[in-house]
Amino acid sequence: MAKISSGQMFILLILARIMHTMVFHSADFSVGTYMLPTLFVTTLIEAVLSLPAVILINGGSDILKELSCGYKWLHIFLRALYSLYFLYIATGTIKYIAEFMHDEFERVISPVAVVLVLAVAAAYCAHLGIEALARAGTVVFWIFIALFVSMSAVSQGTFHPENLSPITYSDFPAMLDYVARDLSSSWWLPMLVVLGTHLNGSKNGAGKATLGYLGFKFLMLEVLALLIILVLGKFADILGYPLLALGAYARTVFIRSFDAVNMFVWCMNAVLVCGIYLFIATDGLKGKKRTAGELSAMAVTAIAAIFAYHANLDFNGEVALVIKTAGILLLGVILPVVLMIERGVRKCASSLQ
Amino acid sequence: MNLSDNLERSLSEIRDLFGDSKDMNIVRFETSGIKCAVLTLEGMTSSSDLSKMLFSPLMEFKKLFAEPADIYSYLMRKGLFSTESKPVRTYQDVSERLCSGFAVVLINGEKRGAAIGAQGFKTRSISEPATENNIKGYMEAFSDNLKTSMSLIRRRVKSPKLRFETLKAGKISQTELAIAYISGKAPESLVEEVKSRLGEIELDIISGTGCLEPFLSQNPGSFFSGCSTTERPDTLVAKINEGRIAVLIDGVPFAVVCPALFMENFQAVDDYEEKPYFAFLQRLLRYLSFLMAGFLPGIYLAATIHHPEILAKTIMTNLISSEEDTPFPLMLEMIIVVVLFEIMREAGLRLPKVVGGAVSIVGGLVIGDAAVTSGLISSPLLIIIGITATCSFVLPSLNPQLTALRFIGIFAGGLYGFFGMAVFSLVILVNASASDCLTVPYLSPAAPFTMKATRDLLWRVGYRKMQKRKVTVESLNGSGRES
Repeated sequence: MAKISSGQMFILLILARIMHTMVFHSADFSVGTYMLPTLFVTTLIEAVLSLPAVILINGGSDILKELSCGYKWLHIFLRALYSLYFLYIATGTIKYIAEFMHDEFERVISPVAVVLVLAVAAAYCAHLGIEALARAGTVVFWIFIALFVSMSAVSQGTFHPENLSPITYSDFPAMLDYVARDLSSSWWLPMLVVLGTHLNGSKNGAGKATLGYLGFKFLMLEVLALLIILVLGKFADILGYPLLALGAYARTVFIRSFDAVNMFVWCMNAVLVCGIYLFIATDGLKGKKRTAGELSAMAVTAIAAIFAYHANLDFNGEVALVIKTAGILLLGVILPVVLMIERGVRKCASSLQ
Repeated sequence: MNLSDNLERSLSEIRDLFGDSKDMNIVRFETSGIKCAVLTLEGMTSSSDLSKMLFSPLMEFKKLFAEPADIYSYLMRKGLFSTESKPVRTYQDVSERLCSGFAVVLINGEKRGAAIGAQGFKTRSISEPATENNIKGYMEAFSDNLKTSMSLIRRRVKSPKLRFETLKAGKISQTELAIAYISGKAPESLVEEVKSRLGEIELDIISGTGCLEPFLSQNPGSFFSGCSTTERPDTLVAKINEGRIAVLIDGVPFAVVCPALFMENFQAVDDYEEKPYFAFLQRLLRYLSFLMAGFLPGIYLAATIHHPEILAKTIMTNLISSEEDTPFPLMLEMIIVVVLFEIMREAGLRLPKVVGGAVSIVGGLVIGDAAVTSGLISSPLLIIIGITATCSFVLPSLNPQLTALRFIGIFAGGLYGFFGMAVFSLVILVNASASDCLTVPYLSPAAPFTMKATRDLLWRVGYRKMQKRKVTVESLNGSGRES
């Protein structure tokens, strides 16, 4: 089986998160100072929620295999749950990219073409396996870092400390909403469960990847939120994609606007991340079944994303929030907890005997 | 089928085997009343060597041979004719030896023959490398003759640890291959794997390195090759010193080295002759050249057709004004120029060197200048192609890939702007990441990142540090230990 390191696992998880953050639209929620402490709380909650999966993976468990207790149908059922969930996430991601391209680069490519090109490219990348995705992910991650550093170096944006409004009691509902939204985007937990079986034998690999992910995610979101607040202030609420708008401040003698450069890197990441989702959706299949699975996953995602785009389905709405959170809790937290309990019960029973 | 003790029958069978081929020479002679024949293939043996090594001693030998077995024994054991003398027992043996430049002596009344090494075919002398030029350092390239090429390596590694193993490939050509490696550096399993992969070749003819590469790298869908080729013995020695394995082919002045890494395409012999900082700068230029040669036309199209807003105002207005006068859409214009460039490059490559210069005059001055002055092609586009072409010459080993990247990039960037370029770049990146040869990832040591092996990646560490940090193939094999 293909093996990846904890460092690569961290990068795959963080790239998935970056993908989600990049296409954040100002219509989803208002950016404000309240986000800064809330991020810390959500990170803590995520850390706690990840413990069962991390402990099991570090112990060398294949959570799905052990949960199915040798029943093939149960194994297929559990796999199907993960597949459906990640097809849903992939569909949402592709739909958002299509929307982003339509909103910001309408003349370049039609949304249907965006969906089709992304689905085909992602399926091909998924077909090449998790090792290839992880290695390419490392390069994309460094491209992101280089982009961020170069944009910061040439940015003409100025900080407005007065934008940092104090947090008041009236921010409490927004904070709760943000906690719910941030947790609903924590599908790195089910990702960890599936990708955990592909981790190489390095000691405490899942723990290192989780720690790295939570630390980096916390820092990254804090920095981005601070930048948006300090540079854009309330403009962020009307600019559509605030992170893209932030890029507009960066300019050089040669490049007038970094919008298209940002889009270039984001789209690279979109293909890679969708490739990971499709890989997870078809993980466990082998040989011809795998190819058939990938083709099916590609077709399902493309059709669903085109439908979602035209029906204007909201993957950040109330229903989507419930689906995503339920999926995270069930696939990333409850199932590992069930396995832990089952193990505990078995241990007790054997000690009683 | 075994040789007959009847000389005439044996000769008749051999003639039939070769279809009475006219390049077969049979010299009959008699010694001590026993009939013998010496078989050679025209041009494969040296006549003077044969007469000195074989005919003169046999004729001058005073002792009377009582039995045919005495002549055989004299040829094989007692007499010193050549450094190579092999017994032949079957017609297959005879044909193999003859084709390898041996002279085969058959004796009437004896079911065995003696093959005496007297290879004397004409080959090119050792020349300077033609495709991997350098300023300082060794100036020798491999020869067409396998033995000469092997000696060029041996001269640089005077150690018994340098091993050559020979085998044959090509069902009809029976081409001799030599696997070269340094014992203790190349993992045994890798050597066995290479031998097994070469053994799987069922091609009729082995005409060059390209015939071996797909069997050695075994990456059917890969855009890049997991094997590299070199015509320089010094480069090959450096590579086998890292535990790699080289395969030399008889008649081909290039060796295949596996596994190959993407980063190696950016290394040059002169990097190791200059100061490390200069090597670093040179490599930076080569990486930049790779990006420009592969992606610049696509980026240019993406920026001018779909994202003019990213360009600074003066650049954009210049581009727009120059494009206004041309009759073709920009993408078509680009395709025309790139295709023309490829045609001229191909013509320059295939034409005799004397005429080759004319192509550049026709291409550069006549077509280029006339196209711009007549308003068919815009000058910025021609500048872009000029830069792209120059950059592609920096990395000749990646030329096939760069050409393909350029064309795909033109379509991706021209049709879908930076979105197309992003998808295309990522797909190529993942494809390269998925490639490996003999379990060593192609993008190693960058992805997977192997700290130990970074001594010679973008920068080259000094020789003092290099002697401390040993890099082997095993340390590059990040699979399972990736970081």
